[in-house]
Amino acid sequence: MQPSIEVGAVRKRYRSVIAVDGLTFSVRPGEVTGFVGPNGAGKSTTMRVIMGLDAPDEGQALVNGMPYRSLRQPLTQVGALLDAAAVHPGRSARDHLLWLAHSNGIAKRRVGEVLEMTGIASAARRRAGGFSLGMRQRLGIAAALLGDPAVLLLDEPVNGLDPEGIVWIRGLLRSLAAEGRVVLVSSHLMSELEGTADHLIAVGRGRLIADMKVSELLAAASKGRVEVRTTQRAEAMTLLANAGGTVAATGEDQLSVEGLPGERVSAVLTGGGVPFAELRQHRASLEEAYMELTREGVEFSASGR
Amino acid sequence: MSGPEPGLGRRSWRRHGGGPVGGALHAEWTKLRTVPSTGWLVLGIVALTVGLGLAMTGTLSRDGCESPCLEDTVRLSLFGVRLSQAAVVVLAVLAVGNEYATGMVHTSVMALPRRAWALAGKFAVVAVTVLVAATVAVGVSLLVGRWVLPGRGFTAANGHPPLSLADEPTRRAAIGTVLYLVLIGLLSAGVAVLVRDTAGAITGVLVLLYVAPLVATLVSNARWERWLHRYTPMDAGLAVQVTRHLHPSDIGPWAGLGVLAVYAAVAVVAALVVFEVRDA
Amino acid sequence: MRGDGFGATLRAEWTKLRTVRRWVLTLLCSGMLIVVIGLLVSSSSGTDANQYQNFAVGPDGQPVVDDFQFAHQTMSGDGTITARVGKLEDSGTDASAGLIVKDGLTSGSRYVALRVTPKDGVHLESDYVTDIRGGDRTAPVWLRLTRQGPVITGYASADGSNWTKVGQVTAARLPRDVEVGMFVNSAPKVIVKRSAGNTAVTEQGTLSTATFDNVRLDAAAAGAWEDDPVHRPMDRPKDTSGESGSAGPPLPEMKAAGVVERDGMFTITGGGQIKPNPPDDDVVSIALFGVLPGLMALAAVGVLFVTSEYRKGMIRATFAANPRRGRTLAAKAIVIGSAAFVMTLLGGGVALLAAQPVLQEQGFAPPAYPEYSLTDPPVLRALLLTSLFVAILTVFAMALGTVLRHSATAITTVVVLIVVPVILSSILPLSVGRWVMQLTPAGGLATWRAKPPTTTLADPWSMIGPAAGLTVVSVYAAVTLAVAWWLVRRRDA
Repeated sequence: MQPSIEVGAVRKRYRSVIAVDGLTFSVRPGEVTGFVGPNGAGKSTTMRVIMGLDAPDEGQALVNGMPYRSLRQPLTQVGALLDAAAVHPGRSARDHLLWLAHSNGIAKRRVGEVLEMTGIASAARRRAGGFSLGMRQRLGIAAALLGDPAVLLLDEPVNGLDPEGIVWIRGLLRSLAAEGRVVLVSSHLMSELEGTADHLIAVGRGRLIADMKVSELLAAASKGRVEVRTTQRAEAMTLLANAGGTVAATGEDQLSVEGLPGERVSAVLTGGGVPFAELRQHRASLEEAYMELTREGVEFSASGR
Repeated sequence: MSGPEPGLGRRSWRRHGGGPVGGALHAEWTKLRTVPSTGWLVLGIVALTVGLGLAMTGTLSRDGCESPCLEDTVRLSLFGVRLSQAAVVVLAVLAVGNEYATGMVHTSVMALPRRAWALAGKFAVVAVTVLVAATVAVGVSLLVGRWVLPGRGFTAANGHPPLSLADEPTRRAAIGTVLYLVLIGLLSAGVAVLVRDTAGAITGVLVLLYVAPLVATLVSNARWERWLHRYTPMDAGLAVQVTRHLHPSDIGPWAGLGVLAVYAAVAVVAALVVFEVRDA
Repeated sequence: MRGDGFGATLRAEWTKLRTVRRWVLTLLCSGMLIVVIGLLVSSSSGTDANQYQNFAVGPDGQPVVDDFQFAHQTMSGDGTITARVGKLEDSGTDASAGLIVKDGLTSGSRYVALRVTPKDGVHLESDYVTDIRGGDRTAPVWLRLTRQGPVITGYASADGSNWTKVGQVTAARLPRDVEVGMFVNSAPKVIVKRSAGNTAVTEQGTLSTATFDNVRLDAAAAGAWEDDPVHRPMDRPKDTSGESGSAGPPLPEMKAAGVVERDGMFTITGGGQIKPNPPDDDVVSIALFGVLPGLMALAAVGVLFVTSEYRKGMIRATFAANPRRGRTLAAKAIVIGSAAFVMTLLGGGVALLAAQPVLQEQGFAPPAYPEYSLTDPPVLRALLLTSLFVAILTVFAMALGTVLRHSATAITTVVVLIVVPVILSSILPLSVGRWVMQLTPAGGLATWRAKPPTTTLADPWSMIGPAAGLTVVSVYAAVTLAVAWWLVRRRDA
């Protein structure tokens, strides 16, 4: 059986606020899945439901085919970082990991391993109360990795990390996924996931907005647009329009074409004897693509404030 | 059940067996012993019990006592639990309340999703810790009483043989006092789960414990006074310490401890149920 | 400077307090606790003081004691009695000898008396209320009491010829025919024993003997002197034990009391007292009992008012907004102290009003317990001082929270400092118990008594006066506040 997360028609309401409204998706192993949405979109609630912290009003969330709360020794199957600040300030990092290890029958030796892995071994015996935000984040990741689980959920793991830490965590996430694990990473900043996530689940107002491969999303956002730079803009526009493209001028010596693949644009221009300095496929940034996606799903948009 | 996907790294460190209960006990014990305050509170339980007991027996005087003087020297030697129970309350409430205050309860519940078992493990660890501290505290208090009392004129010659566990009522008072503190710990831990707030739980339990006996000193209506002595947790529970002048109208020693046990049981059971059902 | 002064800091702290819903609820709850627990305790209290009266009922229906040995005769209308008190034995308690004009021989009736004491000088007294002290002469001394119309005047003299006026009272409600004569009494000795939680109070009657000579009665029809004791009918042994199980006190020794006349010299031996005699139990402290749980809740809010800021790191925002940390601390103290004062005042006032009918139903009724009202000076004083005590204690809790920065420890310490001394001093020997009350904040509970301190009750707060209690809690608060102030300025936020 493959490791998995499956969320099926989950609905959760807190008093008058509907946090998650019929959300369905599944997360596959072997790739990093980004879980994105603006603040208040329901990401954290969904993760709490997956981790069995909150009971859904309707629907269910399964991890490895089972509700979280019926897992035995769950840390060896699922690791999660939900709130890095949730450490007793008087307890050392090592002791924090130690009780977690004891709770799931994990050998003491493993505590040292994850401390090394996350780079906080030197601070392991200090009171966690004196830790910086970044160190707490690393401690939280160490706790998630403690049971060497096949499923990982990380809520805003980049928070508080320095640039070196960000590079480290990206590499870590990619390598964990490459080992065939399920890796679900939430973020409200799309740029954090750029170059890390292979798959994207976007939510807004508790509902699913998108569930697709990052490459598909980018392609959709790019809409097959080709950008051309040429000194003979007018001639080029006429030629391309005659060839069936939708042409628009985007600058003094620039234009963009939709509806024609890049090779065809190149052929048409060369055939018409129009010189061009540059011809490139337009690539939307993940941020752009995401903004496009969530435009309707934003609850607290800038203008709404 | 084994891991879903083999070959994801080394698994040699994984130990099977132990079960959810063993894991919970081990984890809770690690949690309790790795917080600095626990040690101080255990020390406090012993020191306060012994210190106040010494203050009581040390200032005891036979003047003004009728002859034959029938002071309940066992009860006076163990008087310190009236103070040290506050340390027990703090220890038990903090063991639970800290998790809510820091949000660590989420981590705990994720590590041990069979919540009622996990919480039972916590209660067990708290109970055993209090049991050990209380046993030491009670033992030392009785030893101190045995050593101090003859010097205050309470000798075998006038009806006060040295305190000894060979004496049935003394043994009952000693064992009962240890159990009293354990039950106070369980009651406090249960209330802390229900309230999810350290300050609120401590204030609530201390008011429950301490206000009723004070009301009883003031209330001059005999029926109410008897009711308060019989059915409030502290007065009823400490009836187990009485070794002399047992009034027929007073609640019996074990029955009194039973009343406290009912309070503790209600708190513990309610806590287990609520913890299982409530969103963490 | 507006917005930068202390007023702004004060307002900021008040806003912080009132915007945390949990705290506001706790504040309101403490007020409700004061009322509800006060009513519960009132309705579960009870007294048989009116069924088994160990007092005489005075002319205004108040409980009094009115016992003495009396050499008397009837006087009709105006007249003057003069006598020299030659010797007055000091019985060790309060002895007195003197002249008295009284409405009959019933204990508790109206009177005017001029008496001399071994240590406390000369007094002119009437109807258990008026007490005029006239110099510190003692026996031998000449005394004179003159009735003229409604006015009765007392004189004292060293030699019988140069008289000084002690004072005069208007006794309009004395009848025309009164008993006039010489009296002697001596207060009973109160023995309080406390061991292992039992308080035994015994009263032992004492006797004093005095001689009177140069006795002269100038009145319409002077007759022969008769000898009678005035005392409360002895239907039941006098018993004021604070707790059940105390030994029954012996009857006052009356057999040696009496009057012996030889050659115009009267030797009178007697026991007793003439004074108001309210029971020691205080209905005001019963009605205000809810203050005890109430103050625990208030102290918890006081602690959290500071510790929550440390826990959430908000203290940094507070000190960033106002770097003068001492001022912030002072503002916090004022805000939380005022809130506690107001809550206790409101809760206590309502409790006192609501408990009055309940207490009456439980037997706390006239004559033993006259109806009280909030405007009676002792009741008002008790309410105000209790509110002040709770306010100071809450400030102490706040300061302790600042010092310890740990809510659980601070709250427990405050509660234990209030409760455990009370438990201890109700079981420790009397002198030790009083010391415990004088050295711990628990002594502040003395503020909720409207009656003077007494050692005859089981409740330890009745052993000391309100001033002593307020002093000790103020010292605790001041010292802790000073330490907090020093720490806050010195410590990193």
